[in-house]
Amino acid sequence: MIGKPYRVLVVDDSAFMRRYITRILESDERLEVVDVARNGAEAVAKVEALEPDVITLDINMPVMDGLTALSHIMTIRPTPCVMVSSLTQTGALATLEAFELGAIDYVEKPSGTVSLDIEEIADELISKVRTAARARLRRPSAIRQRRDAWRATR
Amino acid sequence: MAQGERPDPLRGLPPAIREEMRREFLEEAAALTEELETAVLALEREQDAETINAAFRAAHTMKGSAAGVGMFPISEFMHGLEDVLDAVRQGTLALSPAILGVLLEGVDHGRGLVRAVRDDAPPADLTEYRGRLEAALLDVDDTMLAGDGVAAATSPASDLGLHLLPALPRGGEADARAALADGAHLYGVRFMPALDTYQRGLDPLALLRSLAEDAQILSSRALVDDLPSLADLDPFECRVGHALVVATSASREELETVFEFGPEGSLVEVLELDPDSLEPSDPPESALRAGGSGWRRLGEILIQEDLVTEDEVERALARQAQGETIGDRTEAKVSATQGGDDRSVRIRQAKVDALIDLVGGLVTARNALLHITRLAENGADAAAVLRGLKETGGAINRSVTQLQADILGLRMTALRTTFQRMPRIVRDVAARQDKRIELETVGDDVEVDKTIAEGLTDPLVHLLRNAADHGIESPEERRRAGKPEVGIVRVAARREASSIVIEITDDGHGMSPEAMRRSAVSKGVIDAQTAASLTDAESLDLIFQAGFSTTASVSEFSGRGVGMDVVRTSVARLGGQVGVSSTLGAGTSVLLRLPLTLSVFRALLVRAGAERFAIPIDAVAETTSVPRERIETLDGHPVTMIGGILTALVHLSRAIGFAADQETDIGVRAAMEVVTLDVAGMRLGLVVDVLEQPQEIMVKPIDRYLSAGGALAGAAMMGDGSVALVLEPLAAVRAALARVNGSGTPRAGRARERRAG
Repeated sequence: MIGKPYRVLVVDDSAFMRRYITRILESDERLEVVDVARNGAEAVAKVEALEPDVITLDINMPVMDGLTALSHIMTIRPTPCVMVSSLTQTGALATLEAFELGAIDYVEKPSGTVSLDIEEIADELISKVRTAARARLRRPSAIRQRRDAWRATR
Repeated sequence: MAQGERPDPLRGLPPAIREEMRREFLEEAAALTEELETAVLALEREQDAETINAAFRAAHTMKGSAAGVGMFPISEFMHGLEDVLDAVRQGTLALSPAILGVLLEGVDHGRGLVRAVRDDAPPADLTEYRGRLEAALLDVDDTMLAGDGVAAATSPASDLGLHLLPALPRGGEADARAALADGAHLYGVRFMPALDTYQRGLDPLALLRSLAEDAQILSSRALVDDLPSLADLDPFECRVGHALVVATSASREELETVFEFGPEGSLVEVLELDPDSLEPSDPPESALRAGGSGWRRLGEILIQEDLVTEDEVERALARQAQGETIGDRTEAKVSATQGGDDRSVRIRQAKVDALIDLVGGLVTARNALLHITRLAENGADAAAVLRGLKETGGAINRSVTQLQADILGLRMTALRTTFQRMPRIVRDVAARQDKRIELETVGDDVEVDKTIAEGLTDPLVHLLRNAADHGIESPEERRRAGKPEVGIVRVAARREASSIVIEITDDGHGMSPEAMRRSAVSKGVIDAQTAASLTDAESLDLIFQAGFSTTASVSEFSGRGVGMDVVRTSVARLGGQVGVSSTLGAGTSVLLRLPLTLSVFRALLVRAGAERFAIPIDAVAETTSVPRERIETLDGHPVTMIGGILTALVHLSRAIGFAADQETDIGVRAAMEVVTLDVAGMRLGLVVDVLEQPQEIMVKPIDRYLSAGGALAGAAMMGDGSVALVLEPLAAVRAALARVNGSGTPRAGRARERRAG
């Protein structure tokens, strides 16, 4: 193995999905799941505490949804995020919004209509997470403006 | 497992992992159906966005996870429910009572599908239900596609599609009125940026932000009709438009100039709106999400308010990073394997952390012990070594005692899950019988052993259904009796010392002791003479007698009682007791008393033959030394009067089949130690050889074939290292009475009827 594995934070409100994703990621020696979070608010707190290299982020979650969490993460500690969500019509819009907020990539969860083999999902997830982990992030302009505005008030 | 024609998405995995993932899914699916049901029931009372979202999320998550493990009947079914909930969430489908009913039915079907997978049964045919679900979706009301609250002041022939305008969020109406009072105008705006907006490096949102400098944006809505499917989507094309309702003092022309700085080729329409037609509606999802961006961190607020310094916040954050203060809301999952089953327990992280602390304490004590050993080896002063040993021993004692209590606590679970099902049961009965019933629950946070909580569900459901079904009267009947039309069923749990007490009370018509006695006699449960000797309380207790009431015999006066003997048996199996009290015309109350935990309890230790036995103290009515001359024979069996009641005597070893009759002849010795058991209304005198002191014991399971036909619950390790066999009182008494009566059917409880005299 070359170097230390990338440290991943997995965010999903479903315990099953957290384990599903963790299982997939940990099958790759370059990835290590350092923690999981059950909603956006937990994710934001854990990003600050754990400083992960990359995050997988669900969109639809209680307490704080993935998009709101994404904008907070990009403000406080820009970290590459891969959105892991199921595709619906509204989901497509949310995904666009996620890209706008600075998400690196998107992986489709299994859903009722489209079912993908775990091996296919695993290949896609692992390669996207590994790629994302190497990404160098700048705060997206929308976030930069928000941050600047916030600093101006201090 | 039914896979349909589609391949199993997990087929590439080793079978063990595949099975594990399916099991994990089934566990979560059970929790999700509960969540969905709770949310839908809550929506019956009040429809708020968060609850609708919660219901949607539950269906959505279950659909996705089911597809992930290849349980397609479940994922497809949940997809249908998700669609309906999504339409509700988007505001295109009104949540009528009919649709709530369909959703609730869907929860049951979903639960049934999960059960079918678990039991390896074929999934039910839900074609008919699916049809109704789809029909419900057809009720989607196009006029509800937002904007119905806003009407155009100018010509309706305008180009601006008014139906595209977002409705005002709740409270937005007041904002709009305030702005209008200040002389502002109200405009509807549609903004469709040019396709090549992004290529030119422009941000449509920036435009909206600059609009916000000149105008107050009351509500907004993304226009996504132009979006192709994701596969066909070119992310470099801007295909999302915006519809806004804004208030501003600017004129329509001035407002339009804002967009002049926008990308060439964009479509902009501005239309003045009629303020009198304002009607608020529920906020769209995007407005809810925007609510999150006002989120400020606690530290910032505290610093700004001068309550703490920046340093203090930094320190607190550093501590938090070390995990000292966070995490008590997260749950760890610990597998508590027991007797080969694979049930698991959810445990709050705080409990696990407390255990880790205790283990830390033990490690310290062990090190201290090693240190003392070295001191002793190096010839240290005996008094110093002794002092060290005492201190360390005390520390270990404290840690281990706490550890024991905490670990037992891991099995404790709040009654909430059990209580969650209740509203549904009451609702169903009320709906079926046209009754009006209100359910009150108290104490859903009371914690009880998980096994007890699980075993309690069925009897509780039964009692609740009885109370609603047979206890509460019809609204007319209640009116005639001068009671409020709405009947009340109350389930209250509380902790009392080492037991929990659950009371199920209704304000229905109650029971008549006299009618109970008559009914019992007519059914041959007791004879007329016995009936006459019963007190009122004892008459009400008749309801627990097997054969007292059957479905066919439920009648007005008895009011309830279907299968009450089953309730008593289930409760007794959990080591509990059940009692009933009632006032005619005013209602009935059933009281359950259960031990907090099954693992550790007080037991009476006895010796019989070569073995030592532990008898749960709750089952023991009394212990007596009976002289030989007081033993009589009835139908060839030894009996004696204990506490004024004629009681059959059986030697313990014989009762559980450890010894033959001749080895345990009663009456050989001058006096015998008798432990009288009173379980589920059955009474039995167990003869033992030696009576010892009661003691706290912890039961370990034993193999089934060693359990003497269920009469032994397990084994307990004693302080001296010996092993005592733990009696399962209900099964033991049944087995013993069966031997006494010479048949498989114990004449349960007959002893009680042969009262003194």
